[in-house]
Amino acid sequence: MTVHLAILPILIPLVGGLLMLLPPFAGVERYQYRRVAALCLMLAQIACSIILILMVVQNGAIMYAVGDWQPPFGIILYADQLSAMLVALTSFLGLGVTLYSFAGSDREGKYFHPLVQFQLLGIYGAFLTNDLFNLFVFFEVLLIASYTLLIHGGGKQKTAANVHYVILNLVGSSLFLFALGTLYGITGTLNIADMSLRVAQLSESNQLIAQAGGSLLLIVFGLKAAMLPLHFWLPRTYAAASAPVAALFAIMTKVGVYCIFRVYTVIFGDQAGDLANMIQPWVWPLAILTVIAGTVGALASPNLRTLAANLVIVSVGTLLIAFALRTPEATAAGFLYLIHSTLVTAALFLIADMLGQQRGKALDYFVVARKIKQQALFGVLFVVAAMAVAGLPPFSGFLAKLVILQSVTGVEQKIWVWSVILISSLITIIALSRAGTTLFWRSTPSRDNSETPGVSKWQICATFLLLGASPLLALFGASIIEYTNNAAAQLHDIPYLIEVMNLEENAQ
Amino acid sequence: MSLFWITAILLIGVLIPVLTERLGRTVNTIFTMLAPAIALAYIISLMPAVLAGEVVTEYLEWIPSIGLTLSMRLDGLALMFALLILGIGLLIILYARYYLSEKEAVGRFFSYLILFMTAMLSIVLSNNVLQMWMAWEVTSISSFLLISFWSSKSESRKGARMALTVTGAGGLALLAGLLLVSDMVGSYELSVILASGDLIREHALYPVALILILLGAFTKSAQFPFHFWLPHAMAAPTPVSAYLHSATMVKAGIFLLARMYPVLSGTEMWFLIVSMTGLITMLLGAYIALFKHDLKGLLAYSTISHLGLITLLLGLDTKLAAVAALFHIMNHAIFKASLFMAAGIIDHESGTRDMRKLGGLWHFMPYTATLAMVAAASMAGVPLLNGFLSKEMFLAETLHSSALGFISWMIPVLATLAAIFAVAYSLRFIHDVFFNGEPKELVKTPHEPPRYMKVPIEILVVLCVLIGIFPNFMIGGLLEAASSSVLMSELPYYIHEPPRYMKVPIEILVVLCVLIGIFPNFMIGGLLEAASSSVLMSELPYYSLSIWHGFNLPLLMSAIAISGGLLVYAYRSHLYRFQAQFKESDEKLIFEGAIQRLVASATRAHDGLNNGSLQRYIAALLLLTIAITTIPLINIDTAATNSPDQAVSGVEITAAFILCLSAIATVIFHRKRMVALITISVVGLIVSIAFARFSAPDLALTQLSVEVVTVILLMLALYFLPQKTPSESSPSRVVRDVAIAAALGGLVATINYAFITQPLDTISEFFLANSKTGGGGTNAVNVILVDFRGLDTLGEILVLGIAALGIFNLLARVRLAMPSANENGLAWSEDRHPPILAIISQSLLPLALLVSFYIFLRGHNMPGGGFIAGLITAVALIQQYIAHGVDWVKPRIKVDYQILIALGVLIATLTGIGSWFFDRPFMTTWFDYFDIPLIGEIELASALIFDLGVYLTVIGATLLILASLGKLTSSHRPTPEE
Repeated sequence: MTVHLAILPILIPLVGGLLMLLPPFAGVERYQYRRVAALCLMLAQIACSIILILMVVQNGAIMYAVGDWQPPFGIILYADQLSAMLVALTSFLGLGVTLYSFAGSDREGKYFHPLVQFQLLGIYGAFLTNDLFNLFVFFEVLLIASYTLLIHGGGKQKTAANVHYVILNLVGSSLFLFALGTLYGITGTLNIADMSLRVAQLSESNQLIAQAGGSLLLIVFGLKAAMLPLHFWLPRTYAAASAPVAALFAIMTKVGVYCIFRVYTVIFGDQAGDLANMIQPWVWPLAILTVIAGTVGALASPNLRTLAANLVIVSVGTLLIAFALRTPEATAAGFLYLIHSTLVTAALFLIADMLGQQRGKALDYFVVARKIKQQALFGVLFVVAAMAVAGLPPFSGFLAKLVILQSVTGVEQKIWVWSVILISSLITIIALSRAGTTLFWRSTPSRDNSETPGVSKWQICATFLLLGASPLLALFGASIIEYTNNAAAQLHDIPYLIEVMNLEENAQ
Repeated sequence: MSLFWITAILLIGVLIPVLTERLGRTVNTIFTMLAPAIALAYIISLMPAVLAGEVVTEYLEWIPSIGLTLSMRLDGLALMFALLILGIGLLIILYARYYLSEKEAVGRFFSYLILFMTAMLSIVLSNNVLQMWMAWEVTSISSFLLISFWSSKSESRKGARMALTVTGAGGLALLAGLLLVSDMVGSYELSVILASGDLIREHALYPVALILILLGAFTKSAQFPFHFWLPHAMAAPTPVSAYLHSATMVKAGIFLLARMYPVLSGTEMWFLIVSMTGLITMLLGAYIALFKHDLKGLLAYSTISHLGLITLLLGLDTKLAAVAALFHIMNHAIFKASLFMAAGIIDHESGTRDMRKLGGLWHFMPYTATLAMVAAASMAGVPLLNGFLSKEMFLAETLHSSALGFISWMIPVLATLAAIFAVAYSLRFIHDVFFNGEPKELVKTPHEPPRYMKVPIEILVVLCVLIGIFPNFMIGGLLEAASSSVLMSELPYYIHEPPRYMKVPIEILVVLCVLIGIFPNFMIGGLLEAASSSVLMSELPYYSLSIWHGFNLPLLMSAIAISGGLLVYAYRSHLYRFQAQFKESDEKLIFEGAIQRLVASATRAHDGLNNGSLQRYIAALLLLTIAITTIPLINIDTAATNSPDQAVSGVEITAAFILCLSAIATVIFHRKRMVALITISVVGLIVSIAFARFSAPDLALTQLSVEVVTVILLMLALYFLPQKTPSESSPSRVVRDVAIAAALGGLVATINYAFITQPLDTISEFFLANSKTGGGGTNAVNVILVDFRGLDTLGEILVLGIAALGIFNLLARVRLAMPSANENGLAWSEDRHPPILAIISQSLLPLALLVSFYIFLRGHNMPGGGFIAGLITAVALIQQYIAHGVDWVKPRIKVDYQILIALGVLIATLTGIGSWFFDRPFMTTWFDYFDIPLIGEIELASALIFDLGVYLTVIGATLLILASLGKLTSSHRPTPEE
């Protein structure tokens, strides 16, 4: 089985998700079966991703030629430390989301668990493939799954948000195809590693066409990542989604960010001749503006979900800053931040949902409402999540922001990055302290909360799982930073990729 | 034992109060005190070594690669602060035990307090600036929790948020500053930084780093102009105020100044900024303190003033000034803590802190009054008390300073002025509370004694100090019993001495004040020396701690201060009248207002930009696309492009013309849905013809069948759209949209043209060459689909399946209104299922199935395949739905489409997994040729099973979508008359 390790993360949810659509798992009343199956599938995926990480660390990156067609001809899956890390992160998040949904949100509509599996499959695929067209396919899988998950639970708000989301992404998919056509037409290949070799050898006019194609990809990935000015869809969509779905979507923007890291490091990175780092002049200002836009949005948010959604935008901007710095150190810092921000923002969505359950009609809006029943529990959860997301010690956010600040070299960049990140942190603190004091303390004294339902054990368990990662990330920061450093070094080491792909002949 | 144990024990100590809360308050308090007591004992055990000049350091790796280590350092400065933090902390715990009412969650309170203590202690014991910064931020958070402890009060919440925001902002500036400094010296270890003073001061970025670090220090220690948060932090329970504003929190800023003194001070910039800030803060605080009617407000501004004094001392350019600063840190902590606690007792026992209501409490709580008086006297700088000693050193240093160059002479003058106010407000604290009439609510008529009658009382104060030291030995019991038994009986409400042990902390502190005042060298000489040497990092200047230095200028200044203070207090009503002309402003409201304006403008900016208009979002997307791709395209040298390979004939031109025309027509008629649908289907048709023309029969077939299915589905969907059309866009909007669309279209065309005119060298050659030998099929397109890029196909059929499930899911809960007429008002035909159509479609079904089966089988070698076959079957079945309606088909086709989809994808997947049993990667195909009698040679390929999966999925998905849409029409349709 270990030979096929690189494709297992794709196949486990695929087969599992399909089986859940068939008897004996199908049917409204069989939801207990599906839950057990979903739990087993998540555990299998986590086990698989951990083995994958161990293998990759031990034996180096894995190349898997689907259909036994060797590069550059067939579809190649490529699991390096970065991909393995992201697969593990996604499966961990998937477990949290699945557990959370056991409280009942998985029964608000049909197919929840199969769709989550397909969603995960698409994400894993995007992380694992080394083929641009295959990446498009996995984008489609994760998008179509996200469209359907978004309307899970139904309702006008979700449908309305979904219309924007779907239409924008359809435009994005079309642009993706334009870009693929252009790049294939110019470089004659779809394999990312192979394209990296060919881009450097293009004639001058072909370079420019490739640049146009490559730039189109930034729109596609930027839309997925919610980079300004392509971020408009995000707050409304994430705020409308049901809680576990919103939590799962915390990784979706990271898929876009990952693609930006991968494509613009491998294909249009340092070795791309005249096209080296061609996208950096665009990403640099847009990243900073994205942080600003997210921060402004956070301050303007009327409820905790929207606030969390805007913090997702801030995290995307921060990651893009790490990308725009174009050094392995900054890349490594970005990876640490990616892990942290995914888990913490996901947890924040879950916390917002549980708070909403206990505040009656006020939900998670920042208005005076009835007192929360489980004050102490939620107080601790909220404070930890808020501190982590704002980058306050001793949680992971502090560590992640610190390494990003440290990775900035050059006075001018320092001025920009430091001031933007630190001021954004401050405003996040302001926004979260206002949110917290209102949600927890400004309560109507008269109404008693004895009839408020307690939250489910599953929900608390899931939230602890995701949020608990934050202090652990900080505690074991040394080994995690060592890993992200290696992952970043491996990503930037193009000759190594070429070697693993057996493409040396072409390199000459 | 190691220094890390201190942090570890205290961290465990954070949990203890919550866990032991149910054991009763006294037990809880004892348990809570355990951890700080152990820590204090350990620190004291290290004292001899540190006093002897040793620096205890310890080191533990955490994340060495980013310079984050757990690194401890106990030098004189840290020792001094650690003793203050733990010692006063213990007293505060004891005090809080009596202060908090029975209802309150004392466990939670103690937990926050210990957390805060831990953080504070980590700041002072840290030998790594990053670690120090972490602890710094934790103090901000834990102080937020402490200040907002009474969270139901609006002022608590606002005060806490304000403190968090201001100190949080400073903390972030501090981080930047510390990172800069560390960059300069290449290490985050304090030992290294402290040894690199010259390097840092000469660095080009020194001014930036200095300002950032000072921002951190000044916000934390409430220096002007950041002082406004401190008075509002008084919304906290008094034990918190006593702790935060005497020995901790605000002293963290001072600690930072002292800590960085060796490396940052010594420049013009340092002296100027620090001394000016300190001076202004000192004056401002002292002045405002006089006008505060709230006891705690008075103490708060006096704290600000004293912090300014210490800052000023650190900003003066003499070494002795730094010694004085440290001395005053200790003294201030001791007298201020006791004063806050005394204020708490007054508040607690009388129900108000308003000095306008209080008065004459001396009669009711003489013992407390005595203690408060001694402490207040110390604050005022009255001789024989510790406050006097450090204040006199301060005054002496202001005389020697040249920090402000030629206008340095103003420093001693202004310092004396501040001292005058300090005396005045101290006096007010005592006089307005304990004397100056009676409590206002009392029925008893206020009775002012003659002037000289007060003199004996003042003598009694001194006596009471001694009684405070040896209460039992002196007359303790008698006095207490006498005063309470005589006075209480006449009172309408009960003011009494606080519980015995609530006074113990104050007693200890007051005793300390007195002892330090009388025997300075014996008490703190060694500690002060150790602390000073770690701040100055050089030979200590000569100084003497004694009460009497002879008649000199500082003594004169003290005398002026005291007499001046008396004068100011005596004539305070004039000052009050002057001050009353200013409008009373509440910083809390101003600050909250500023934040709310910030939020409002953020909301405006956000809503203005993010207005929920999809058109705007798409415009943004497209404009960015245009911007980002135009630049490379402009730079392409037109001469470098070749002409296209294929010649253009009339056929292509005609087709292209129709294509353009129908596309434009679609846009023009987009409000007439049927027309638009027809024109857009023309586009699809031309595309399929184009595929056929350019030798892609598979694509042509697929496109054609997809076109048929989508048009049918679209018609169904359009049927449900509301009849009303939204209003037209404004003309300018139309122009904008047309411009964007045209520009983007032009760009796409340009890119297309650009790359089709380039010589093509792709991996396609490989597919053509290997399709038969490697994939076992002569139809390269099909081999690509099921073999070379089978994973893509698998993904795409999954997409199709999910889409169908999603549509089913969406429509399952939708109740759409069915229009009774089309948009022109014509009623729908009554004849829902025309018989001719029914008969024809029914007879066509077997034929269609046969064709699709044929197409499916031949797919690997000839145009066809599972996808097209699936579509053909689907179209045939759709026809049945159209002809007979959902209700007719349902009982006749008893296939669960959901299962069909799942089975289809599963078959395709399992085919791929099958290759594992032959030790091949996923989806490695197998094929062979067999000679079967009668039929002849046929090829069997695993790809065929894969294609079967594709076939089933396509049918299942298409029909599931159709059935879901069609189901909506099957219920009773309202007639126009209804």
